[in-house]
Amino acid sequence: MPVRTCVVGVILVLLWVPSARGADESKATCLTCHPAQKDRVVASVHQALECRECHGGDESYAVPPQHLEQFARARGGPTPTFEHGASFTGKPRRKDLPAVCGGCHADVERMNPFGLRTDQLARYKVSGHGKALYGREDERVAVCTDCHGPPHAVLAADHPQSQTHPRNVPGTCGVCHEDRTLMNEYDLPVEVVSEYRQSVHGRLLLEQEDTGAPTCNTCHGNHSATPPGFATVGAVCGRCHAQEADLFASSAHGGLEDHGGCVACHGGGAERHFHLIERITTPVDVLTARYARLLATEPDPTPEQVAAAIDHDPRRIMTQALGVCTACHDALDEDENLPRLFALLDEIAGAELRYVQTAWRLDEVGRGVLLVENARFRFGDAKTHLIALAPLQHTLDQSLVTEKVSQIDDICDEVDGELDALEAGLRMRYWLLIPIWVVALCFCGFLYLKFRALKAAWVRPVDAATSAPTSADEPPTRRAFFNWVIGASSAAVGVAMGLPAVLYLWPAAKGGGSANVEVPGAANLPPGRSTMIQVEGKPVIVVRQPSGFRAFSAACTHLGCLVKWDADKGEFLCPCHAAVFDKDGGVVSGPPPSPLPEYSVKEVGDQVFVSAS
Amino acid sequence: MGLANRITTFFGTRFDLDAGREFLDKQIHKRLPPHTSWLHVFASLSLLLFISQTVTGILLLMYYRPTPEEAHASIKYITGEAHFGWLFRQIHAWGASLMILFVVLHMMRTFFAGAYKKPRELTWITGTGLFVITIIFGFTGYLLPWNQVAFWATTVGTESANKVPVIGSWLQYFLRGGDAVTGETLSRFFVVHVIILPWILAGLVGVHLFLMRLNNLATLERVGEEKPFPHQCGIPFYPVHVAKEGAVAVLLLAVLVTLSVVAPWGIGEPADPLSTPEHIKPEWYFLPSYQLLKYFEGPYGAVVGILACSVPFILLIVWPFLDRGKERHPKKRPLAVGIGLLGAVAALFLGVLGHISETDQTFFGKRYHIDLLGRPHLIDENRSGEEVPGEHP
Repeated sequence: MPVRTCVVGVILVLLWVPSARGADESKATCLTCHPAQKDRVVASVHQALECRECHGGDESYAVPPQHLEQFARARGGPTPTFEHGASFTGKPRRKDLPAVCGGCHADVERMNPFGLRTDQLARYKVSGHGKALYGREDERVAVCTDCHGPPHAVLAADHPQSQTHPRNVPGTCGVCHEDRTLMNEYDLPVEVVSEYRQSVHGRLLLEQEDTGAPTCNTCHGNHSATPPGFATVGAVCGRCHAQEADLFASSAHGGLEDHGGCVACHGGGAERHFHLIERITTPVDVLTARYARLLATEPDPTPEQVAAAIDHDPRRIMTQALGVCTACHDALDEDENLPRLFALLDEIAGAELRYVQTAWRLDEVGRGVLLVENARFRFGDAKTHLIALAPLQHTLDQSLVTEKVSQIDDICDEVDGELDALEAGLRMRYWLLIPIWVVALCFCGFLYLKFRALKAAWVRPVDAATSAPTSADEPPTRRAFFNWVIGASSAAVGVAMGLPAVLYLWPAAKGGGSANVEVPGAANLPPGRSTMIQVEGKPVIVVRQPSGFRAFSAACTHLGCLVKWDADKGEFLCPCHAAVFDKDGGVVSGPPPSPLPEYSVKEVGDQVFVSAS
Repeated sequence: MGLANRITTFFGTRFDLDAGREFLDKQIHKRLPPHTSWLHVFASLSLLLFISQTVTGILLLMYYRPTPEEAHASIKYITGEAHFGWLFRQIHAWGASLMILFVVLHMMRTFFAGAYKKPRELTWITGTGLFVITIIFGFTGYLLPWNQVAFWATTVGTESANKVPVIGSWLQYFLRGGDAVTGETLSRFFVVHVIILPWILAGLVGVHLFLMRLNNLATLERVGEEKPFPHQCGIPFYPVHVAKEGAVAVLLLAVLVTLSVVAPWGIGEPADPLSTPEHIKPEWYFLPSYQLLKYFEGPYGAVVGILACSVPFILLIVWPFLDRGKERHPKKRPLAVGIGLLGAVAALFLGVLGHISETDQTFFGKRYHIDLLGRPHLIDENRSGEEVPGEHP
């Protein structure tokens, strides 16, 4: 009996082993035969997906063992194809791809945990790509995998290697849109991507790696032709340049029926390249660089040299270089609108130059020996105004521009004035040199004369060594005078060197008068309690008494130990010699010679301020 | 009995004042050789500058704070707010340069006058030590304002320590107190500058002066054939020589103040370890070495370069033992004087090259760009300058 049990047991185990192995392999199904896809899927955003979610197939489907054997035998050669089960759909066809992806991506419930939008499929259908795919059954247009990467290796858009990362988008779109043969068939321009790369946006994104700069889909929409809220692509500039768009709309240009939009001026000149978006005037940092370059070779340039080096004449750029204005307006002499526009542009250019010059001077002086912190702080406002000035030119309204420009000018005047004053102070030191050299030269001269006299008196010439001393000592009156001068000069030099040293060691007064110091958390201080703050470096104890906040010097008038507030007794106690002050600071007992000085307290709303006065 | 008498009596009954007075008298009235010239004042001017550096240095220490966070701000405070702080900082900065200048001039006089020869070899060697310490003073002090130039000059300067054979990387790590120039570097440079070096310098100056006093100043006579000069012909150190030095010293002080007012050293921008400013160059006294190092490239070249830079210093130290000729007069020592002149001209030439390298200069009405190695390249005026990125065409 035990033998039979054992035999049955062994047989059962033997039977179970192959079936168990089969079950294992059928579970690892797809990847057993398609290992190459495994690594790509694992590195992609879709790592948690199962194969059948895109390719169909039944969960309970197991690959028959003979298929596996056949597959194994064929390794290296052509692999046999198998029936993968009833519901298996295989590799999706191109025109089905949007629907396959949309199976999940248009499903609100599926996408909700990932915070992804679910209107991509719907938007794709109304895009140029989608219309061609579904309307004309043109399968050459982009489908999901063309932009989002190989089907098994889709990466999140913020992954630096993703084809849809902002910096990679121009290249991704360029695969088709820079393909001349393909674009010719659709009668589409092939320069769009290269023009974008040269544009201000392209340089910002691709050269300066500013991922906030717009890339193709910023204006053309992620899946549809325009981003939500815009009728045409041409109108999307205001999405980022909101202020400019509003100001432009309110201007004379904006009121025109066919004003041509932003690209009329910013589209790379008169021929209007929609992707070659460019600033028209030169950015301030470039002007600053040009100015600095000029100053490096020419420390004191004339206005003409500055103008030539800065090369910042909007009039020339708008007419000759880019032909922006002349594209619509007639010859310069005959159009009465142009002079007004140029007056406005000249004013802006003047303000920019002024800003650049003052900024440079501020930096230059700051690198020297003067403290320019106050001026620099004030100059920050000029920058704010300058940033606001650029959009204002879209209004074509001279008065608005003039107002802004005068604000910038005022600040520059103020800063220049402060720098002038500082430099004048520096030049005052030159006057110091006059008395110093007068004393030094006199002193030096007298010491030299003294040296000659002493030498004559003390030293016998070598060739006369054997003879008697040639000269007697200098006359007593002259010697007394010399000694007096030298003594006085020594005293002058001693004072001149010693006095500054003493003054230097004397702590420099802190300017600013008595500052108001806010008591932190005053509103939450319970009645009868105290807190300690510092006012101008001195300890102050603030007590919330029934009558309101009161502040006293916390330094005991005896030997400067810090007093404590005894909330129960309503007294100040000094821990050093057990002195007691009453709630008004008066001495109750102990050695202190005088009451605690009181500080003034101001209550503004919930805030409490203490000051020395 | 007057107060002075009472004090004299107090000390006189306790110490042998007469012996002391006699010793002092002998010392301060010691007669220097009759030919003692105006060129001899370079030495005392160096000493005067050391004293000035000590006094101004102590004054600066009152407000200076040696941390990366506070160093630059404290320099600003000294320069802009403390009364006369600018003056003391400028005198300290200019004094450093002038001190090195006068030490070099003093060494040159000693060299060309053959004063290093027997029996004064040790005086010369301690003098060379003083020269090296003065330079280290300059190097360590340069970092303390913690501005961009200071930070990057120190980074570049300590980087070259890396090229020293075998121990280079350890040496650099040790000098910087870490892998890069940081607050640790500032701390150790500060300690070396204000604690260690002043005492070493003061001690060495003491030995140097003692040796100088012991052997008196050298004459131009042949070694071993010096004739003692008649006592009456010698120049008493006090009051005669002192009056002469005083006259020059007063001028030096005036020059120092003038330089401080006319060409003040800027505060500069605070050190930024993440941005290297353009055209970083060391102080003038490092320019010859700086330029020389550029001609040696590659891992072996760099090592050779460091060795080449240390050769002049080694030569200076061992020179008294190499040049054992009896002659002192420069006209009778053509080889030594030739080598000395060659060294001085080479240093000057390399220094000037280092100064103008990587700049544009005008010679005879034409603009030249001087490259890294000091080679001039004619600038084509018709070619436009470099384009600024983002510039509109």
